[in-house]
Amino acid sequence: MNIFKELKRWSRRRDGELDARATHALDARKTQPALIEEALEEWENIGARLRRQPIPTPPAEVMWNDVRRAIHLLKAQEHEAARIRFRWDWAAIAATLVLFAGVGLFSTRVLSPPTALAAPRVEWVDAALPGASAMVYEDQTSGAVVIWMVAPENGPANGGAI
Amino acid sequence: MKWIFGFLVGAVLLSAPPAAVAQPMEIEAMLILASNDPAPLDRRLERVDYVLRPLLRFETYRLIGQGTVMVNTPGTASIALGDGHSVNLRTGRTRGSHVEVSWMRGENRLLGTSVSLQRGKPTILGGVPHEGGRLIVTLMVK
Repeated sequence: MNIFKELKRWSRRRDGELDARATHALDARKTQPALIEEALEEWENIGARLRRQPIPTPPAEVMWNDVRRAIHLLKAQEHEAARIRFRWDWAAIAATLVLFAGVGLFSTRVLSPPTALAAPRVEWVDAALPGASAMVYEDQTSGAVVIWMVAPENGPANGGAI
Repeated sequence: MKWIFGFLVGAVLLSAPPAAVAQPMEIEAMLILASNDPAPLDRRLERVDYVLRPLLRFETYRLIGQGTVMVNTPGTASIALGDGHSVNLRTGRTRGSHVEVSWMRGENRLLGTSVSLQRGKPTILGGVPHEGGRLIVTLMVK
């Protein structure tokens, strides 16, 4: 029997790492080497010994500072969350206003287009003077519209007109 | 938050301009004699002289008569311009701001047209021979 392998097997037995058959075979042994018995007893005592050791406790002031730090962190997180929510609120309002402005612009400019684009300035002209015809001229600079009647003897060359 | 949102939506909806609001138009008409005879500048024409000179090649412009009228949409109106001339206006029969204009001399119509009158953009009717020059009617939305 290799005592080290045996120790390792018993260690695995305590840790629950052995399968059921190996565990049963180990438990069925009537006798154990003295070294194994000592090791098992030592392992049994380790837990109690560790639990008996004093755990160092920080001073009350340090613990209070930890609590204050935790409170501060919690408040900071809540403040940040509220700020993000506030930003989102205003973003929603701004987006709504932009949407309505766009709809309004669309309805005024697209659904009912400006008359200047929808139709020419002059729809029709009827020159009622006998033998006269009419010229239509729209000046791009001033935006003025000129509707000029041209009689046969009233050409631009001798009439002084346009 | 919800009431702010609702208030904004309501405000935007209430402040949206109506699709088509018929506003009365104030139209001023001037009857002008344009000629090449030398004459002093007619100061009453300062508002239209700067438009007439680049467009028409006459030396002088003399104001014969003028008038202003408020026209409803739709509606009709007439402006007496002196020397037997008048301008009849009819709005609302055509789309947009088009106005049917009839330039009358007594009972005779000299010129008829349907034109879009726009603020700051005069409409110039002309070409009727008169006393060696040409008569001009300017229409302006005030």
